[in-house]
Amino acid sequence: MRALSIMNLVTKLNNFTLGPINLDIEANGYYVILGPNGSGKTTLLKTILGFYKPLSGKIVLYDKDITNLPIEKRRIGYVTQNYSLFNNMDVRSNIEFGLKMLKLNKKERESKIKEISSLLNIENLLNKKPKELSGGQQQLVSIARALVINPKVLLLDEPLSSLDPNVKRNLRDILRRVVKAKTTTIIHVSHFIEDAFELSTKIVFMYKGKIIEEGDPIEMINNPRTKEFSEYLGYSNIILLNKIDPEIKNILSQADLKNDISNNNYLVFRPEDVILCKNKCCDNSLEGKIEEINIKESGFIYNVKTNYHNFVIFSREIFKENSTVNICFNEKKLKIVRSAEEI
Amino acid sequence: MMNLKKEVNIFIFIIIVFSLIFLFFFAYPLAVLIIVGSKGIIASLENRSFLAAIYVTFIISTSAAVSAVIFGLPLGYIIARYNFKFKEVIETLIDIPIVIPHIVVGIMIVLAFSSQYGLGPIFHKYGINVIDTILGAALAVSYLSSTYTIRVAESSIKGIDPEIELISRSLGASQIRTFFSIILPNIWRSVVNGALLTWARATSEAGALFIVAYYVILGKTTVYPSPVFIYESYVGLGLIEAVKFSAALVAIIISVFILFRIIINLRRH
Repeated sequence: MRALSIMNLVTKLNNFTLGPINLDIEANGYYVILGPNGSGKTTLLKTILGFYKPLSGKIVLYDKDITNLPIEKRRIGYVTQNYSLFNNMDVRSNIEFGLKMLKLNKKERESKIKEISSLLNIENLLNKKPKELSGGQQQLVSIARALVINPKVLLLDEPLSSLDPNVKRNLRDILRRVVKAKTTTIIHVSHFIEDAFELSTKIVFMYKGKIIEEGDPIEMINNPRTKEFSEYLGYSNIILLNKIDPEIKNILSQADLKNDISNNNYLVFRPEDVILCKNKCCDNSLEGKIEEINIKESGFIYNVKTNYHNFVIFSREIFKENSTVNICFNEKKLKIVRSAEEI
Repeated sequence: MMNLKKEVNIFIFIIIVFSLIFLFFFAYPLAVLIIVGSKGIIASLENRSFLAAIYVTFIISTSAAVSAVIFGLPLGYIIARYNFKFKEVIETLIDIPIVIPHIVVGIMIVLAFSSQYGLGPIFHKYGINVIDTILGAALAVSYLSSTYTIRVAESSIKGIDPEIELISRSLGASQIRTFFSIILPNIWRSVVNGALLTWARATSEAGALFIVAYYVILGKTTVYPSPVFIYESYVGLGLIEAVKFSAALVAIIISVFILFRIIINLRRH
């Protein structure tokens, strides 16, 4: 069942244009929207919420056109990265606020507060003031406050950004639990790939105000279709293909990818997708010289210069600066993608 | 914040000296006034004409403070939350009363409500008269003192994360409900502080009142607003008499000011 349909949506903000956006959100799905800063993720979220009025297009929530409906009439939950708790109320009143707006009686409100606080493990916080809570606790309360009214869609705007890594992990576990326990459709804007890995049922990738890739998380992360998404995923080696580049031509021919050589395609691979050897260690290899070394937690990042290119390569082995090395390419790890502007 | 005692060096020494000079400049005339006039404060407060003058001044300044909150809060909210064309013009307009000489403001109010210019004929048709009336005096001091409340309201609203309003609305609260349930409880102390500044500024206004309401008609009598009363006593009775009334007025204003500040901040601590 479709929870939300966005059709030809265009929103203009000063010099930035979002869209046209076309997106279908399935009910009870967990959608993670990824994209670099300024790609329009939050603008899209706030247009769905009703804060930004679209220039054109339509937003349909469970078959109801909500494009021009005020925020308070949409029943869309919203959680931000700054927690934004109401400081003039304690935790219980924060959670109760939405229930009061729904005009539920005291008994119903109490029962719902009990249910959500038990699900999120925050029963012991109910009588505290927001200022007495840690960042992680505040975010839990903020999620509880949004979820308690059973929103038709819950929008999460980088909810884990301001949190420590440990708290972040814990909150991801809780979010997973919430998704299982509550049948809620979630749209989660993030710039952490881990969120997409661990939580999403679908990924949407935005770039310069447009959705340029969407689909199954594992498939998308393993087989990016665009240069921009590849770059975002950490494919540091992005090479524009042309027919006169003998190095790449040779690599692709050996990898049986020579048909992909066209002016608009790119060869992309991650630093860890190739092997660095002192001597030639496979057939499909290139010789180069190490120009720069950066130490990482689990090994080294080498900048290797060949006759035509500079490659960024990861290896656990130690190589000296200016030494000659061989880059061994694994054909299965090489991807051919196109620029989003070409699609 | 840093501990000033632990930080003493040449720079800190210089800024402390300069600050003390300025603080002395503020405190010295006030101290002399209180010392010289203190003996006459009680006698001044027994003077019926002076009490009537204070009564009129309080009515004028309290109406200025209340109207500054009623009309200034929405204006502060708009400026804090929205961007729009000519916003700078509106912001300048809000600050203009601070820039214009107070006597000129008096003339402006008289002119704006005179029977011959602008909207004056309409006001006159409905019996609205500003010359020597409480209304005229309140309008004049409102014009000169409301800026403080508007600016304080604006900056306190700016200090509240706008996302909070979005969240409140996403939970089903209308904009009005959000304002009264979420925004106002967080800013009321600042707004009251701003209103108090407006009140104190309005209480001490004399320049505009010289033009608009040198005296006001209260029932069958005429009463001077207290700053005008003090001026009259200075001209008619001499410096020492004026000092007594001045000390009494300052003592009342400062007492009210401090009392309100204590009440406002009572629950916070």
